[in-house]
Amino acid sequence: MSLAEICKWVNDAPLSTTIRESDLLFPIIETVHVLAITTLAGTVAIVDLRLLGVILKKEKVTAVAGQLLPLTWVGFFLMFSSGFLLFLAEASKSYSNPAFRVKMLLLVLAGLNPAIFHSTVYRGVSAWDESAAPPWRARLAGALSLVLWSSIIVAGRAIAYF
Amino acid sequence: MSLLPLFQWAAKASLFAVMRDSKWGFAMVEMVHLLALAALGGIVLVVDLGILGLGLWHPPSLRRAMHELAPLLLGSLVLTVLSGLLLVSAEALKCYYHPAFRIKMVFFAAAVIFHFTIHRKSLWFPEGARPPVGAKVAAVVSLFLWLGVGLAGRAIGFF
Repeated sequence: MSLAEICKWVNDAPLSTTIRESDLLFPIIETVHVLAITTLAGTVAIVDLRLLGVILKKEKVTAVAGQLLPLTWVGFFLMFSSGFLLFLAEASKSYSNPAFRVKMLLLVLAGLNPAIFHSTVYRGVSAWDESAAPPWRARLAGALSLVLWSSIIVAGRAIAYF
Repeated sequence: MSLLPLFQWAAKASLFAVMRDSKWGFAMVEMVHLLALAALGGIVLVVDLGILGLGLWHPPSLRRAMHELAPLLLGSLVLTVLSGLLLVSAEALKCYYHPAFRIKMVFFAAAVIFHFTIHRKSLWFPEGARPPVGAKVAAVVSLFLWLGVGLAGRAIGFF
């Protein structure tokens, strides 16, 4: 079964049809999705800007990251589950939508970025925890994260225009 | 005094023709609006949940953190307003008569006024102290008002 056929099958499933055809469900899920993006992207951006040494320079990197992480996960969980439901409802349309494809690719990169960051330079965070200007690889991870999440929001919004 | 003439002017002004006539002009501004509100909403959430003591920004760093986030909040607020004005200019008359738009403007005005008056004053508690009850009430009101802005704003697109 090809990916297109899977999307078609998902698209025609009862749950997908219910969401798609409901006057209320789709807007409600989409509203949750947008609010969750605020929670996720807002907290991620604050940590990124700390890594770049732009804000909260007097706070420890681990303090900023540690305190915001629970909220980031709440945002991620809400965004992922609401996004998944939206995808179910429009699986066939999404499959052939260029903005959706770009968004999925960016999401993978946005996931890889912190995975690499946490398994490499962040391991030695104790050496630069209080530094106003963390090492360049940490700053690069912060800059990449800002660019990736902004692009995800832009690509997500663009889905409606194709 | 009615604001209708202002919206009627905006609906016809050649200044905003790009916003009205090009699909991508509107789309780009809408993306900027969304990026700016993600930052604005994120900071509001972090600050207000921090005041409520929900695991974020333990004192003594709470006040200092809020102080440092203030310029970022102001910047994203300015960006949402500017991009928002352009979006309205493209659909001026639709917005004027749209109930969700009107509700959004009421919530927005209330949220901004509240933010720069009572909310700001409620944060004048001593460095290192736990936020007093007044600050916590202000945080809840602030979250409610901004949530209202977000929900009403999203609703503009749905009818």
